[in-house]
Amino acid sequence: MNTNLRPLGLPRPARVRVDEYGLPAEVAVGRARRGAATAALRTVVQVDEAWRIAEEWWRPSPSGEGMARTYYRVILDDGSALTLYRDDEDGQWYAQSY
Amino acid sequence: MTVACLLVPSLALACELARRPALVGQPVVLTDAAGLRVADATPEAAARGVRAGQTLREAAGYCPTLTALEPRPARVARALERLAAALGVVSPLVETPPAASAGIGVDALYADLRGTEALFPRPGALERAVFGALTGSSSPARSPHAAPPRGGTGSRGALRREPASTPRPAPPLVSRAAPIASGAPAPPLPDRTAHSASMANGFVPRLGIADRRFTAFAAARTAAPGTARRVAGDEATAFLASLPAEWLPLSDDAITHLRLLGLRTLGAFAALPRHAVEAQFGFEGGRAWLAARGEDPAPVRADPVARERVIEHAQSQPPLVSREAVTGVVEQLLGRALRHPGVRRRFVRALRLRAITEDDRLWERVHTTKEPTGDRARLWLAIRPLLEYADYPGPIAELELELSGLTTESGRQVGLFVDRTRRREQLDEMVRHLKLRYGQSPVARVVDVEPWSRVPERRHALMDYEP
Repeated sequence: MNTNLRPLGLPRPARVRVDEYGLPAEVAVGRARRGAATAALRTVVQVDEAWRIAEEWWRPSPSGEGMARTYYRVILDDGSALTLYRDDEDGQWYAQSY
Repeated sequence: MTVACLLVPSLALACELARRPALVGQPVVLTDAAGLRVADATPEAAARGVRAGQTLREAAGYCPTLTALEPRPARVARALERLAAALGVVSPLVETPPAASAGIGVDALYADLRGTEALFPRPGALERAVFGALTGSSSPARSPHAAPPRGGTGSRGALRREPASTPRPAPPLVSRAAPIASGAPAPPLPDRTAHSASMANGFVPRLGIADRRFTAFAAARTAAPGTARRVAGDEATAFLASLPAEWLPLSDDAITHLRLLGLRTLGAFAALPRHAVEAQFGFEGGRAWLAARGEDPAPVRADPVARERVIEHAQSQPPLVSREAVTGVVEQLLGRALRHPGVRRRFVRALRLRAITEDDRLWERVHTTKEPTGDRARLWLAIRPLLEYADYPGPIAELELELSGLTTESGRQVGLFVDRTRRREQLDEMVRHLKLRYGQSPVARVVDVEPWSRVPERRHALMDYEP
């Protein structure tokens, strides 16, 4: 019997503009609105928390690289909270519920 | 004296003859429900060779002047209720014959009299109480536990003829002695207590009182119609000795066997050694041997005491011929029954529907709810299919709805685990349907994979739900 497990809470790609300290300053997550090429950027008013995970460094990822992420919990201009991370291996940004 | 036996030989036949007095003393048979075979016969018909089990054609061959009557189960049921109510006057523990065989042959009703001696201390008081209840007259020695057990809460009303929630007047059951009793004629014994019962149009039960069940039965069977007979414990053996052996509680085959062995009387049977009887007739033979000696070990198997119940009743003139009309009347009866003070804020466990046709044929269904409920919609959901698929025996003249098994609850405590199990079963069934329809299970369940992981996507996963 195939258990057919589908992981929950997968990361979604995000477009992030960082400030001079490398912290997220503007974020765009999700689909673009009709007529727009990309999703609109929203201003980060506060970075609540930042932490890094690089666990299981002895276990290579499927791509053959290790896993290292730097997470940021940010507050957007409309008051909503968002968890972002930067993949330290390839520098890409993702949004993920933590 | 611990057992009372009330007996009307061939009750079903007696019910029919009570309505046709001109047939009394004539060769008459009662047919089975299909109208094909003889279920019971009067002594006059039996004297001409007619026996139960024969086809009507065969019986007519023995007796060309035979009259065949169709059974009317509703009349028998009413008569049995009245007889049971009469015995209920002297004891709350009453055994009635099973409904399937009721009224055929010599079925009897028994009452356990243990502990009731102080209620009827005077000689003949108990007999007067029973016969008084049958004739409808007030009993001088009415037992305090007599009235409620069989009548119940008894909200009886009628849609057209009778006011709601008033007791339906029961006509006197016992009226006049009818010479239809089978068995030996009652010998003129000095201890027989005669009770004059003013009876007109009807049949007359006989009452036997003794220390043992079979002795009480034999006492009732030897009593003249409308009279009672007591047999003391030390007289039982002598009393039973001369009675026919075919009265023994044995199968027809065993009775035939007795006849072939030349055992005609209970005395001859009781004179045999017990081991010889058991060798021929087995365990039942041993019990019959004890019964023949006045030591019957069989107890009175009292019916469960009818607790509170609410009965709504409707009569229709002209009789109802459409299913929709019957359904409508029953819906009204349900509404009225649920408005009864005895049911308000309580739940119902069982309901009984009874329809009686204009010619006294009976249709009856009993439904026990899966769980007690006081919700009208849910009760109607249970009743409606009974009515939709009912095969009524004719136009309906009377309808009766009985709600019983009333709880003391006013709310329902939802089970913590029971409901979860039920919900799971419902879900499984639903998923099977969806899988059949879409080819794959559209339902998944969340499973823990590494709930301790700091990487969110490794903590939980979805797995297809396979019922």
